[in-house]
Amino acid sequence: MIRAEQITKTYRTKRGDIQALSQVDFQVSPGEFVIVKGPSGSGKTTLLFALGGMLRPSNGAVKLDEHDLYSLTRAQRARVRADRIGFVFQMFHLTPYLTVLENVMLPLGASKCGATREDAIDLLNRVGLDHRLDHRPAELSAGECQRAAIARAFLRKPSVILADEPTGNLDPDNAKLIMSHLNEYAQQGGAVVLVTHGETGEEYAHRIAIIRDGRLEIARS
Amino acid sequence: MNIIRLILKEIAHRKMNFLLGALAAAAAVTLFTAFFTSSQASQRETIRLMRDMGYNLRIIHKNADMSEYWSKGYTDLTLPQETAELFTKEKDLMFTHILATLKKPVEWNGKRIILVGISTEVSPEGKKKPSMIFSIKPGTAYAGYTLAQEMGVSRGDTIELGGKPLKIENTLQEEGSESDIFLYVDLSDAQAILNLPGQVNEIKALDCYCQIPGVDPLDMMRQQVAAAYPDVKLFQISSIAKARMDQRHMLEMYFAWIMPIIAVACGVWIAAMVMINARERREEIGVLRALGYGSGKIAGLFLGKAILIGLIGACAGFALGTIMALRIGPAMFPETAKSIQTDWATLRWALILTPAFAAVSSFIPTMLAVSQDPAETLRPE
Repeated sequence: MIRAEQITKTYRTKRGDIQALSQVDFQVSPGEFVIVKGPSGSGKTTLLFALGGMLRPSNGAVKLDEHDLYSLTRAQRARVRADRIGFVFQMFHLTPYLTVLENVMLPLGASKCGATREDAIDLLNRVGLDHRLDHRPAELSAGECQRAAIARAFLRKPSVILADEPTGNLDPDNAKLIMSHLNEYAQQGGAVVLVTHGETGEEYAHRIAIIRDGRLEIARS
Repeated sequence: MNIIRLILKEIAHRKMNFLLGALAAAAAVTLFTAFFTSSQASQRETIRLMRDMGYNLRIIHKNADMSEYWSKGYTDLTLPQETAELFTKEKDLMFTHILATLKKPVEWNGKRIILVGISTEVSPEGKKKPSMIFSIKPGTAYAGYTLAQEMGVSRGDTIELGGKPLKIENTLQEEGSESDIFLYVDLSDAQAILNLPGQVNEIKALDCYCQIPGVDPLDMMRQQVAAAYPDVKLFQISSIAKARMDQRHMLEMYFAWIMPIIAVACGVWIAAMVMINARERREEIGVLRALGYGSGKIAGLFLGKAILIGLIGACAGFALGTIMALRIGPAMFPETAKSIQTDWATLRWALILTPAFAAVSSFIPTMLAVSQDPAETLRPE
């Protein structure tokens, strides 16, 4: 349902061009949990942002249900992200001046998807943060921050969750908890793409792709 | 969560940034308010000071010998008294405070003094202004300081000059000029004493500082006078005119340069605050983008904050500026202190212009914030 077709991304720098992605074909379907592995600088995050409509490829197309994301206007692409795509980041990126509950509800400011405050509280219950609703991110542990970020990504029930090293800053117990939440999301019909440089979550993955120097290979399907 | 709530939450979180921005806006409004509130007093004070410098134009007979005029201080050639009245009927005349005088030396008790007859000051239609000189009733006189000292006259005395009794209405303070030996009388009395009925030998006036770009005002006045009254000529006491012009220029330059500089400095300050704020919030902007917030909503976060900075700055600045003007103004402009009052119109304008100005100042940093690449800011280190 989300598909990258022959995408290439070249960063132009003063020290010369950097080829981050090279003719990458990739797709993920509903209910599928795909892990993209690769060392730092291999192009994992670039691929994730390109899939999420946040980074225009130099060549190729990214299609969500056959609609080319990058033929849309910026505003239309923002709308697609609001309605269809959820992000989870390694650094959590919670808004520091909002409470946990307000952070989870933040996506509702971008699109009215029918989700409510009660849905946000319910999600926070499910990730074990019901006692932290009114806390600020600075008052949470790293694991709690990432669980809040997961709840934020899940709130609008997006078609696809794009997770960038979501367990990179977590201890093994919290990492396992996050992976189980992502796995549960995939089991409920959502698509999950997770990029990582480690071994995290391989037991949940339907497919594992390896990315090296911007080229993608299937390691396990 | 709506944009306004987000703005308020962010302000509460980054209080110092908001306070510094509001301080810039308040500083600009304080200075504007203080200047504008006291500007009426300042203008009146300036006009008063300029007026006190005296008449800077002279109109005399066209054939008057200027060497003789300057050496004697008057000309023997006279003009009809009505000439001064006729000037008041001219349209677009570039001078006001028109005063017809008759000035000649006379003998009094064996001493040579200067008799100056003055009429009531007149001005062109629509340009009526308070007289710059005291008015003298017929049958009375004002004695210059030295004259009064040397002749031993004081207020209330009655003297006789040319067979005409004159009551000394007042003796004048020392001026340190030739006027210290003047005896001022009503024009009709001077005409009678000098046996020059209906005649004057000098008309004094004050130019109106009506500047027209590319036109020399003196040339213009000369043309005006020559066209209507070919028998007269006009000249300017340039030291007085220059002092007036310098004073006016100084005030105008003050408002024309200082205030825009203050406004620009405060605008740059606000823009810098927004820029710093936008840099601090790069990740937040990236997340909002990732969550599907459009450019308009993200720009709204920054512009909304700038508008709030402007509104608070306008209120605080107006209050501070008004207090400053009411406290300090009377000491600076003691003669016209009464005209310093709370100017509510300034508040209205401040409430409109300051938020608009703050929004304009923060426009570039806002656009930079909106256009920054979210993939770059959200990329893990």
